[in-house]
Parts: sequence; structure tokens; C-alpha cells
Amino acid sequence: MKIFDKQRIVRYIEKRHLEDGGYFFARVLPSSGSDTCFAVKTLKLLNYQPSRPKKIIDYWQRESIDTIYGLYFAVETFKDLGVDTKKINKYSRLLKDFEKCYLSENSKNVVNTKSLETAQLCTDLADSELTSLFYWLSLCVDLEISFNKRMVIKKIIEIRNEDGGYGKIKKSQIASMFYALKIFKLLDHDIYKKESISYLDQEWNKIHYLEDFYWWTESMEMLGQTVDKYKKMKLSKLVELCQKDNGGFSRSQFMGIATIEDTFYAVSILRRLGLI
Amino acid sequence: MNKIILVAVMATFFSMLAGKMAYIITYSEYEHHYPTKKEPRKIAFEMGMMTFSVFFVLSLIIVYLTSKIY
Repeated sequence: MKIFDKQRIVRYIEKRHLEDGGYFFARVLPSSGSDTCFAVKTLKLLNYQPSRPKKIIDYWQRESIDTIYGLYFAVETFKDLGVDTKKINKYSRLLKDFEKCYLSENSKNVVNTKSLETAQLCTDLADSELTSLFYWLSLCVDLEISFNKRMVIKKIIEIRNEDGGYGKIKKSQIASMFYALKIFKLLDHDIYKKESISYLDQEWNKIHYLEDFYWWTESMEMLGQTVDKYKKMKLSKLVELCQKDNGGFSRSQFMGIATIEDTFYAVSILRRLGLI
Repeated sequence: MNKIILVAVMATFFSMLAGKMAYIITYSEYEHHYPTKKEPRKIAFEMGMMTFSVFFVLSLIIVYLTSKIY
């Protein structure tokens, strides 16, 4: 199996560090919040410090955040840079509003009921109906904000399917399995190991993109499973084929340009396989 | 005259559908880019309106051309 050149990947990431302090794969201002978070995470996985960490902190402190996604990316970046996240607990209202909207007894049995989010899921523009819930929960834990644990578990159990997967609107999705396991781990709840492994085994032949393989590999890791030799070879080959001339990775070997997000997925997979 | 009204209604309906799709796609892309809701909504609205206009004008041109032929 190929051993990947770390320096080449670091160069790809650092070339996308922009003037406003953030990162963006397209190298035009303004920077992207998600790319900034993924860039810092990728560098951390590669054991590198970003060249200008102060500028990254300034980038997030300049922004006025009013979405769960934005806040999650900011807090994750701060954590990876070793910045105290308690400084940003002024956002507790945003998190409480989310809980009221999505986790009340009266809300329907799917996690996201807003029409725009449902439309995004139905048109494959959103990864999973559990993404926002995981981001919110992770923020509550990091910022030490109280939440109704019983209700979170109830909502996830409601979208559990017979095949062992999770998902209501589009049935079982590999991304939903990943987020459900992450949530169960955060809450220290039973992860339904046997059913989850059975679902992941079925999914292996159905997944095609880098992000799917990332969710699959991470889910296996959370379930304490080792990836067999044949699958390791396949994953290594796939990641190798997804690498572009500039050092970054695209989501598929057949199409697309390299992005910071896909580079994060590739590096995470390579770390799990011990190839980096 | 009835035919023109029917075509106009259909053009409006399908152009609105295209505009709405453009709004959803653009919003999905930009909601991860910006930490606020305002910017993604603004850009998505602009994209939705532009898509609606393009599809609507195209529909009118097609109707005009086909009415000349038949």
C-alpha cells in the first residue's frame, strides 16, 4: 500500500489560507467557515500547526454567528487550535432555540421538520437528517449547556430502521449511521453494535464517494471493528486515485476538483489505515 | 388568446419551480460557507430570481418562435 506524502497535502491546505484569516478551496474571498474548520482539522491530523493561527482566531471572532453550522465550525476550530471555548458561550440562546424547535414533545418524529431542510435532504443536498442534531449536541457538551438527554435519544430511536440503519425521510443513510453513533457515544448510550455492524456490512458495496467511505470507516472505528485486508486495499487505492496533481483530494476518482473538505475525509481514512 | 394564457401560466409555473430549485441548491452550498443566515439567503434569492428570469424569457422566446412556425 502506498505511503502518502504529508508535506504535499500540507502545501495544498496552506496555499488556501486567505487574507481574511480563513481558508477556502477556491482561493477567493471571503473564506469559508466549513473549509476553515476542515483545514485546521486536517493539519492537526497531519501533526502540523497552521502557519498563522492568530489570523484564524481573528477570522472567527470577527464573524457574527447565527447558525448551528457556523457555531459548530467555530468551536471545532477553537478546540483544535487549543483556544478556550468558554469565551463563546454567549450563543447559549441559539442552542436553546434549536432545542425548543426540534426537540419538543410536539415536534414530529423526524429530527428536521423545516421544509427547506427536508427539500435539501430529498434532493441529496444534505448529508443526513441527524447532522444539525449532532452539531447542536456537540456544542451543548463543549459549551456546558444543559439539554434533555432522554428526548435526544428518543428522537434517534424513532428514526431507527429494521436494517439497523437510521433515517426517516430517505430511509437508512450511511451518514445518519455515523451521526447516530457519534451522538450515542457523546451520550454514553448503547450503540446497538450487532445491528449497526450488519448494516455497515450491507452498505460496503453500495457506497462510491470519499465522504461515504469516511463515514463507513469512522463508524467501524466507533463500533470497535477492524477493517479487513481486502477492504483496506480497496480504500487505499480509492484514496490514491482521488488525489489530484495539486496534492488535494476530490470526492471521486472519476470527477471533481480537490476540495479541503474531501482532503479532510481522505486524510482521516489514511490515518485510520495507518498510511499517513 | 387562450393558448397564450395557457403557455404563460405553464412558463410561470415551471420557471418558478426552476427558481426554487436554484434557491435550495445555492442556499445549501452557502450555508456552510457563511456563519450567518443573511448572506446565504441573499445570494440564494438572487440566484433564484436569475434562474426564474432566464427560464421565463426562454419560454417566451420558444412560444414566439413556435407560433411563427405553426
